[in-house]
Amino acid sequence: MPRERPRPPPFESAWLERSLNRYLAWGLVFMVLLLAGFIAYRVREPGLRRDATRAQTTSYTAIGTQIFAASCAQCHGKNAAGGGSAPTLNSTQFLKNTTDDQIFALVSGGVSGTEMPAWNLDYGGTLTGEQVRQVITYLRSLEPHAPSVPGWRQSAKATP
Amino acid sequence: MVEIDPNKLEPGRTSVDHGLTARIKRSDPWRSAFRHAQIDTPRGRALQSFSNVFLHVYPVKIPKRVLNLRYSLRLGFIAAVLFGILLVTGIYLMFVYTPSVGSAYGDMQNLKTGVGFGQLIRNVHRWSAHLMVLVVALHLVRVFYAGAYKKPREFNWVIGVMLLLITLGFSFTGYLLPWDQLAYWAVTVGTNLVHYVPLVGGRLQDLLIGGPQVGQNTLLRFYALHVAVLPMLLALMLTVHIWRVRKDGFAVERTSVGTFSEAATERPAGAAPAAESMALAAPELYGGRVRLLGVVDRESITEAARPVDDTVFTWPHLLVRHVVVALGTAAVVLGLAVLFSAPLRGLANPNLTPEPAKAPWYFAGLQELLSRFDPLVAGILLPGGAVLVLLLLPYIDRNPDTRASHRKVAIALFSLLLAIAVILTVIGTFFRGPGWQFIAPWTHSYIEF
Repeated sequence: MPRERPRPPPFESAWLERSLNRYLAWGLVFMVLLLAGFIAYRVREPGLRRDATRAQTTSYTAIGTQIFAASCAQCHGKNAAGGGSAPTLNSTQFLKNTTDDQIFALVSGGVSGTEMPAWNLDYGGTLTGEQVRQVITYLRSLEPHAPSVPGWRQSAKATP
Repeated sequence: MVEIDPNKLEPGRTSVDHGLTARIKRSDPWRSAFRHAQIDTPRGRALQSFSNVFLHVYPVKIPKRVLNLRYSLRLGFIAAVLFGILLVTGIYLMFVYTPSVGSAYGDMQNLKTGVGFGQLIRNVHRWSAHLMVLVVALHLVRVFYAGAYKKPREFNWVIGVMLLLITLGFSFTGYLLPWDQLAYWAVTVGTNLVHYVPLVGGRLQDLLIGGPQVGQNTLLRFYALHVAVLPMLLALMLTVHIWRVRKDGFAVERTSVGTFSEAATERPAGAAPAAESMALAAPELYGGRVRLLGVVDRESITEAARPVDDTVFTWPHLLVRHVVVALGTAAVVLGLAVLFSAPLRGLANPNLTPEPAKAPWYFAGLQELLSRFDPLVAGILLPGGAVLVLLLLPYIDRNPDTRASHRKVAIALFSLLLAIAVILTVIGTFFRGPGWQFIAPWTHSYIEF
């Protein structure tokens, strides 16, 4: 049922009304643009993220390689291939069964009863959390070509 | 709560509506929140302003020319909108950012790889920040050319200049937070300037960066300034700024002498109401500057006295324009953010100076000046003097006339300084390469926004 409401007499000039409507139309245009902007970004986001992740992995691997060579290779062997006093980290046995978070905890806090010290700055070490993550990224990059080393826990020096 | 019978406000209305919306709008909870119905009559439109705390910022009626975009270009309003955008996006970024040398850079990368809309929000934040510096500066330029800093608005100009300085402080402290090479070296270059302040320079620099070089202390200090100190300061000053826009006379008429007259549009033409006669009786007490802003509904006194009513209601006319300008600003910022990503260079490295190490673009003019003159002159005396002159401008330029033809000297001097500043900034930003050598920007660009 249509509501009966007589229109009040106009109290503002017609051009004012027209100008207001023009602005309202522009408002609508801007809202559509805003929506389109969000949608455009949302559509591109997965691709952008993939690219960014790939770039990040590449740079982390490179930095991680350097950190490993400088700080870890002494005990874990060149390219994590073992032979030092510590476990062989490029083995499938280690990489398959250890999550990133576990490695982060091991590297950050060290392993008591062994020569492995705490590396994270938070625990008195020398590496930032970011640098530990870079080392982990480097280790993960070894996973596709990791050899099987059944005695990965035993180091060369540990076995009498 | 004031009971307002809609039928009284809208004379033509006779029947009672039984529809669902009408019932909801008649219900107690609705009326307790919204106070009264929206009625399209002159009194109804005025009521919208009277009964809304946000609309109370505006006068109920404004001169028609304020509706014109060319009147102010809405620059001050756009700056406020950008500040709003920066607040919202800044809070979003605070959720995922830790101001620590160890994790800040990783957090920035995480925005790219793991946070929903993370990079977009960062882009919006960055573009809004750049635009805010630009718009606030343009606002200052426009106000100067309009002569709107003259009596009675001298002090609001001073507050405006302070707001510009706070904006620059915002942008500069925010520049460091990504903790990449761009951030690290821009801030290193910027804070090295402080060293040249006479007597206290060394201590001041130490206070600012908290150590011999930019490091963890600097990051934490800049973060605290950026997210706590400066926002509060800006909100406070902005409140005073906007309040004074109204109290010093909103859209004051230019009289025949061309001055911003004390006879504001808010003052009734014929009547001498109480507040004014008080001011007339004791001018030494009120400085003859009492007006009736928001005290009395002007229309009720002046309808007869005013020959031609050139005013329109703020609601909806100015309000709609402001909302549309805000939407337009947001659309522009979002467009820039979708098209151009905020840069993130390599992790900050104190041992590796990039060539060239550039300050943020709004300080590039200063850096250019530094490459030519003694640091004390170029880094401290010239910019410090310029800021001081800007702050005191209304008290230096005592000429009450606002017409361009009657203030040629002021306009010429200001235009000259403005041109120098713009040219220096453009050269420093676009025309300088490694070793601060002159370089054509179309061969290689050494600037990142």
